[in-house]
Amino acid sequence: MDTKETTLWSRLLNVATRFRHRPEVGVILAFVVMSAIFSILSPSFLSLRNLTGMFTVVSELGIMTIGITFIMIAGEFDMSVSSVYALGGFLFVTLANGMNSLLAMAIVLLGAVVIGFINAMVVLKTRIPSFIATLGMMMFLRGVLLAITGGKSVKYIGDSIVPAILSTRLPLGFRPSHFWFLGLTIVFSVILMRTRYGNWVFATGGDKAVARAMGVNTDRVKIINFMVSSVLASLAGMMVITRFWIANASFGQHMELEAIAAAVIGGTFLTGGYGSIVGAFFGAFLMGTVRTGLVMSGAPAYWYRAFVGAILIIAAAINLKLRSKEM
Amino acid sequence: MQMRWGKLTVVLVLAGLLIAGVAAFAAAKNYTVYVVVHGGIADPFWKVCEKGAKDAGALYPDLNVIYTGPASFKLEEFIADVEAALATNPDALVCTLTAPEAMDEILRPVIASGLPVIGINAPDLRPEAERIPVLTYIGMDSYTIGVTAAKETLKRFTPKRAVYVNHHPGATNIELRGEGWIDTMTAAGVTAEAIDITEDPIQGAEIVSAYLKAHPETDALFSGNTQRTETIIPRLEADGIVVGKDIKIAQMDISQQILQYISDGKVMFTMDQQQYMQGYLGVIFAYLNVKYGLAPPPAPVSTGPGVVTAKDIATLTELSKEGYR
Amino acid sequence: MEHQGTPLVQMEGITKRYGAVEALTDVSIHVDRHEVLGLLGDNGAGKSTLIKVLAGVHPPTTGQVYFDGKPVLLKSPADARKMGVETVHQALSLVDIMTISRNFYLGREPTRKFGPFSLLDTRKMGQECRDVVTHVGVRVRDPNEYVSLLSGGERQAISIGRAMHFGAKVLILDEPMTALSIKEVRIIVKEIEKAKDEGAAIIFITHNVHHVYPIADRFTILDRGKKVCDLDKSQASPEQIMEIVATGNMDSVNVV
Repeated sequence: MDTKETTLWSRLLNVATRFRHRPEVGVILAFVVMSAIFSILSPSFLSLRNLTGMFTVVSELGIMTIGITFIMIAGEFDMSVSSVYALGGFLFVTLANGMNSLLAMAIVLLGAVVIGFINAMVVLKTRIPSFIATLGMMMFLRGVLLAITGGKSVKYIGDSIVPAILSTRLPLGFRPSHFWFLGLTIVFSVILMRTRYGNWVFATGGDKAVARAMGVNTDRVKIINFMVSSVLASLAGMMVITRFWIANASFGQHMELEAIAAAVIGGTFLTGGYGSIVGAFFGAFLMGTVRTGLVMSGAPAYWYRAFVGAILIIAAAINLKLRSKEM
Repeated sequence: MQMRWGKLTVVLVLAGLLIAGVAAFAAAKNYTVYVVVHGGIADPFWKVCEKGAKDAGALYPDLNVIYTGPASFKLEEFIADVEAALATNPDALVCTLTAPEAMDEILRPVIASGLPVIGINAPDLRPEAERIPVLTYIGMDSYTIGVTAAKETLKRFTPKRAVYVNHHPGATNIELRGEGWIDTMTAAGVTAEAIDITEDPIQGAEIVSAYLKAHPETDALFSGNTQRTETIIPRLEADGIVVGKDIKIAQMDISQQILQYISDGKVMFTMDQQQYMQGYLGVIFAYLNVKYGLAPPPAPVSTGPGVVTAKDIATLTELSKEGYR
Repeated sequence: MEHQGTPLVQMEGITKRYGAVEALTDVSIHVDRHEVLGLLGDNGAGKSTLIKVLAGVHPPTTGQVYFDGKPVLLKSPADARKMGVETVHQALSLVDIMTISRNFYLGREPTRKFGPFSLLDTRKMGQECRDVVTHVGVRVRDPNEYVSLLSGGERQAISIGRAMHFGAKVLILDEPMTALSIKEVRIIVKEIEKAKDEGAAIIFITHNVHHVYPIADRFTILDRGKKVCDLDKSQASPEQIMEIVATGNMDSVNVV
């Protein structure tokens, strides 16, 4: 009897050990445990209604997180994503109120590419650390937005094409943004893990000098990844706008920190060269569902932030522990 | 490795138990009413509203009131909190209608399926036919607040230039107050405008200081938030401005410091929207509707604005200390 | 070792100026297949500068590089790599936080087509890499292990194995034995000899003759940007060579 149980247990441990090496293990485990706890405390946590509701918030944060993970693995930070998110949304509403929304969306995405390119150029040409350079861009863009809007909200009165593509509710409570998030996670995960370019991204962030010595164009990698980060942030911004039907200069404040936290919880190193898009996916889930879980459990509202902070620290510590054995 | 997982599980279970303690206590009650406000919930203004809601909840043993909202005003968080509250299938919802267009999609379906929803503090001011069909609304008409503030100011003097400081960019009701102020001032021939002083009290004070340097003839300021005024006044005094003489302040809401300022003559008057009543009545009306099917008085159940001047200080100071005003 | 005909690599009259500073003055070296050339000199002698010209990192101010007798223009490291020049530099070879197989193929990743997309050929990467790595004597359980787990010697061995695997004709080793233990040095020496047998022309840069003397065929000594001498191994002892390196001239040394 005893021997049989031991063998089964050790076999399970074996399987677990093999998967232990993946950067996503920690966050997936944390997410499952947390969801289990919340569903015990509030039975409707796992209701379809709530799951789809949380998925929406998670998708918007998650798409921004994918972009920021991508640039972090390449060894740089992009703090401007939250401002691109807000500015992208505002620009979209302003344009779409006067033209075809698809055209407006295209212009916004193009604008995001430009901002990403500028971020890259500042970092590459001036040697200012990307954390600072993009922080400056973040404040600059936010300030511009505040100045243009004067703090007022702008209502969306454009057509329903882009809203239907991005956010308009589907049957059962799902939204297109959920599928965008899933799709983008798959796409960028494949790019990172299964293409030559992905290898270059890891190398650029892992050791830029070695990457260059081996012939990788690290400048080009950073430029591309900065552009990706901005584009995804603007996409998320347009998603929230087509859900709220108003754009405001205050949207997304501090969201860049949440996205970075989600990335780190998902196994991405702050120092670059190591990370996971799938991890970012679950990291966004963790960050995006904690508040809801706490609200639904009736926990005192004043404790939310403390709880999120504690989770972040614990998750990062777990990840570090898991990594230390194999690196 | 087993030891590490063991420790981790223990930590997580302990955390879960902490929350479970609260939830278990809550689950014992029969009726759950969620009160979700746009916050920030740490703002002294909202603490008064919270006290009202909690005091009402304490009246009935079978009533559980869960009060929540973002730590500092953040529209996306507020909306997510409302959705989370609704996902628990509560018996009723009391909430601020801070961004009606964004809340249409969330509230209309649950109202249609029979959930009692009561609006407080921030109204839906779109044309009547377009409004979210809440059971009732308890609070103030934001536009009227601005108008009253301007009228009371004009009773005392005619400013050369009047400014409204918006502390919640994005909140429709806060914007509307500014419009009420500006429209009334303009009609009286006074130059008036609104400026955004962001969510940050320190930054906001800097912005006001800079504005006054750019427009030194500004002599009337309308502030919609007590905490913000408490940082603005010291900042202006540091600039050498004599508050109460060079610039006169019209205020919204009560706090102990504001009452002191009125005593000192630095603030002309403040207006009370009796947010204690907003929380209190919101919960009571919701409970009575859920339990007995009683319909609350129709919107708007106006809780103000009561104009507070120096003669009211004594009474109010005590009550403010206790958290009722 | 005698060479027949034209050496594989010839660098003639290489001068490199940086503004007013002349880092190299009229230096000529050559190295042939199956040959190890020890390029020696004290710090600042110009060894790295010279080798960077060959590796395509920067062009010479004047002078010409020849491959198999034909003049070549090396405009970039990619050009040099195409000609078969591979540099192995301890600090610049492998990325610590990447796996062995990803490191192995860095910049030269094999791909397979999946419909319209080119994805990494992970099967080939795993198999081939494991073969080469075992071949160089490094015991790894899994090419998906991280490079950070390897010792300095193992890393060097893999770097050299990598260079040879990708068809290096000219192997430049920049201080390959610094900070290695005696055991590890032996592993490296084996690898270098293997490469030499396979026909590579090897340039071994160091300022310590004892690293290179056992396996070298010839030596070129530089001092402050100028060539001091070319020596066959039979012409001088390690101590004599050290003396030339230290003093920068041949005055106090009697070579054969």
